[in-house]
Amino acid sequence: MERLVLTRWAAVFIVALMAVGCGGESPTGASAGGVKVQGVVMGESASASAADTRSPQASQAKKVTVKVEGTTLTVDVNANGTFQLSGVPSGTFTLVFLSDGVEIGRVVVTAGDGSEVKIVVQVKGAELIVVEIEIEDGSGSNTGPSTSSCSVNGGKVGQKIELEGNVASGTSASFDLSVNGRSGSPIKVSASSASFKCIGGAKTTSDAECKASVKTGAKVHVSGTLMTCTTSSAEVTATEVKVQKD
Amino acid sequence: MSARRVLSLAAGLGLAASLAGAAPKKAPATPPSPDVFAGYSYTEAGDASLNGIGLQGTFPLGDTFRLVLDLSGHDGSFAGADFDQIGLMAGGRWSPLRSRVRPFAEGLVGLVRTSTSVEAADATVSDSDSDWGFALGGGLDFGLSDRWSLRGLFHLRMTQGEGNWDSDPRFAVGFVYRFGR
Repeated sequence: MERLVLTRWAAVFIVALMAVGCGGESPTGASAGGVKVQGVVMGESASASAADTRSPQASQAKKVTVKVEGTTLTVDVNANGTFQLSGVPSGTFTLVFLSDGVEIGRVVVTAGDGSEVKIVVQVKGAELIVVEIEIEDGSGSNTGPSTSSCSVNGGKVGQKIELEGNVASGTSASFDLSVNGRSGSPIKVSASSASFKCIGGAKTTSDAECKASVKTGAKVHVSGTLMTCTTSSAEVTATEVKVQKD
Repeated sequence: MSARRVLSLAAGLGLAASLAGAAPKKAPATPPSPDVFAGYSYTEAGDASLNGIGLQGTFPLGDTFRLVLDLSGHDGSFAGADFDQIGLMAGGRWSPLRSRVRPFAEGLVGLVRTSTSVEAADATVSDSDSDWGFALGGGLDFGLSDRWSLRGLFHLRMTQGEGNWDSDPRFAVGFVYRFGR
């Protein structure tokens, strides 16, 4: 009798284990091949240490969804803030982040077939901040066009980059950056999801004022990821822009 | 170790225990007593795979029912972010047999706190969330001696956060020490 109960119990246990083991989750509309996107969405309660001045805010449980613009690919961010998309068409694509159905931000990514994009973003109010983005090729290493074919000295597509220079044109959301000695042509910086802060000068300047001060001629320090790079042009998605104040 | 590999291992162990004649010998007629468990634990936080330790303490309430206190700590990384998770749950366990191999089923409710952090530029951005949840599962105790047993357990843990319910598996294997006689 006991053996019968035990055998049944073991069978139920094993079936349960196998069901979980075989039941891999698949995001809606995702398919094999293309680009794989892994991401983390940090909530409003996120706080930062060191020089970052982002302040913690009350956490609100809102349903966050990530879509790939122009495709049917969409996935809900789970309770722990992670999400995964497979089969994203290679090339340049746009990740659209929605909070309870309302768009809060977009991130433009350029990645080749077989690449893996790792992105960490923070939702702050109705704003999306890109904390980190990294692109790995199919072999698992960060590569892109060789340094020699990239107009930015020391720059590699998919890798983090730090630039210092002057704003040649544009606004805080998107501007061209002149970097003496590192690139012969201005680098296009997408900063719509970046955080802004001022360094030097008056300490009382707010982040919003810093953002507004990004105008032609402003001296800035940009941290982000080199998204594309050719011999004549380069694009950087910024995660942080520091504006130098005299 | 991947989740699938861990689960396959668990399935293999369970199959071996049940089919290879883990003959349920009649246990000596000793009264039920409290026990503690410590061992390796694996779980998932959404898409992130986490490894850590699991601790359990149980207190008997009759021959087949026990109160369970479950504490677990896990860590791992996903998409460049580091995850730390602590779970504290309590509930009841039903174990119908008092033999050398003891299957059990349990249901727990409690709190799971997940911390996420990422190094970015010159700062560390971190986020912590505490989510209420519940877990359903079961396992097997395989008696090694009067006091020591080997335990494998499995939970399906449901937590709510970011407007969604998450169901994450948890697997643990380790040793049980039984107090009293």
